[in-house]
Amino acid sequence: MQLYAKPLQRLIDLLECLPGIGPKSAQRLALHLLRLPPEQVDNLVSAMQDVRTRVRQCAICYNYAESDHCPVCDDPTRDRTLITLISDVRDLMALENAGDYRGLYHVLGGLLSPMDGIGPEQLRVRELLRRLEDGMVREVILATNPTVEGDATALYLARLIKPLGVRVTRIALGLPVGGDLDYADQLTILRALEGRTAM
Amino acid sequence: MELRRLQLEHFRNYATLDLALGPGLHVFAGANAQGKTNLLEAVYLTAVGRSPRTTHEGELIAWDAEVARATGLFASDLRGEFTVEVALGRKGAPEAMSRGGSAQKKIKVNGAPRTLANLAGLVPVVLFLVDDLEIIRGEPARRRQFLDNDLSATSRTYAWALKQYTRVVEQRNRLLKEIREGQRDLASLAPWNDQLAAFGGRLMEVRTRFVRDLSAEGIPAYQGLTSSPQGMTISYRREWGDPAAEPTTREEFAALLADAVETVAMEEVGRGSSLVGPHRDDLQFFVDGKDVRQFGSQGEQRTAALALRVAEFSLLHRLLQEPPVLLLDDILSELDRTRRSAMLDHLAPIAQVIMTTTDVDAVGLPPHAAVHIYHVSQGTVDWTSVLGE
Repeated sequence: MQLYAKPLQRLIDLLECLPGIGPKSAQRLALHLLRLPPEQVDNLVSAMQDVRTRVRQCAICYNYAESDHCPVCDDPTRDRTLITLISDVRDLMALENAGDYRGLYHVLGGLLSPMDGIGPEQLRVRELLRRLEDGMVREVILATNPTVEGDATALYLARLIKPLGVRVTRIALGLPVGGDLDYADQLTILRALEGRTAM
Repeated sequence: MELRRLQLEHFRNYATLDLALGPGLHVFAGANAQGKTNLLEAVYLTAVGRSPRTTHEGELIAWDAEVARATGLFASDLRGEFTVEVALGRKGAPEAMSRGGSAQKKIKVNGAPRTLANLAGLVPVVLFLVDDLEIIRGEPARRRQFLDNDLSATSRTYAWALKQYTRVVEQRNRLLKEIREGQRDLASLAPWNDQLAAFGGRLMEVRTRFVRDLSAEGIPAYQGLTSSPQGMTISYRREWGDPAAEPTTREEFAALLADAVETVAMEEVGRGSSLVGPHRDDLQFFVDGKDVRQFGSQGEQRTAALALRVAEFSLLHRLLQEPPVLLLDDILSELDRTRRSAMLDHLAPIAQVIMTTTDVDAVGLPPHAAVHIYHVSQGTVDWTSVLGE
């Protein structure tokens, strides 16, 4: 079997370790990097180093931030009585880009999954409870994914938070907005029917 | 439902095949190991989207090829004509591939890409295998698999609930072991118990209704095969929870399961495994008040296995308002000649029947129906003839 020159092969092997990159993509990326002008490569390298040194987690919600607090938690116009709970920072970005939400977040850092060794201690549950201690928060919105693990996490947290006198809600599951009913798949329709609301 | 045309490329021992079929009875005859069962497998694959014989679908690709393709042209009263194409490619780089491993599968309906879940209920088929005897005689898991296969093939929501439930049980079993080791407390079970009850309730509601309907069809099915007044009844059996309870709705089943989970909690922790729920349930078959699995003769068990498939056919026919395609893999050899004729006399006028046999003369072909005979030899259909008409 023919291998690439050693430094190139090393780069290919490292790229292949990244999520979503297979052997073919790794080759393509490495060969592309080899042909880039040197200053672009330097830019890329320094960007990767900057991410490591300059990005940290928000001390309140565990969103990524450049200082102790993330822009959301720092924003004085945000509604501090409302916390939306998500498993991952990507979900925070999705909600934030939707634009209308004015409350705060709490990034859980995963979902309950005994098979992956993830219990409540591996998630930022204690940190969440601490945020609820002062009684300022009146509602927690559980916005975990509608999977077995996401639902288990939501059920677990609901049991934990309700006794504190905080309102607990779960985001609705159902039809995509602007979609026709007859195009939706059966499971989505089923869950939308089960989650119907009174008018 | 009717299969009008079957095309194969590099499928098992068929390099290529293009076969036109029509209504009536189709008999594929030939010696053993010539590829008769491979044809039924191909029909099943285009109808259901997976092989009935193996989960290693790389085995379906001819040894000297990289891609196998099976295309069925089906016609139904409700939908008209449509094609289903299933293509299987070897996974991984050519030098690293292991022959007979898993395969990459692409499904197309009328040329448009579809998922396996999209195929649910599109082409109803009932497949009779010699191995069906194990449904009657084998372990409870085999009977649950029979139920789950049928229900998943006709209902996407059942298939979804089953997948979720299976995942909950896996997660829960792991958690029970951790509790046993003292790594977590009993309270951490609560969210998994909620979900076990919710999805378990869904499964049991659908299963019990299906078994009740199947049992109603089992009576005439068994009578037809034996020409005796006795029918076969089927009951859904659970060994846990209040034996007197007769829940019918999803919510009632969920409540029953939630109660049962509470009472066995300590035992579950001790065993490190989920002990109650639909993954522990079973089916029972009765003929003349007698449990066929425990007390039936070998012959009665074989007849029960056939009757179960006939009942399945009748039920699907009624529910879907069109007859499923019947695939019979050399199973009639188990019946005597009169019963063979009785069965084909009953089924051939209603549905398209595609069957294999090593001995055409022994089949007991019904005298009045059109019978197409195909001779299969070493991966080719080398001659055909039509009887009756």
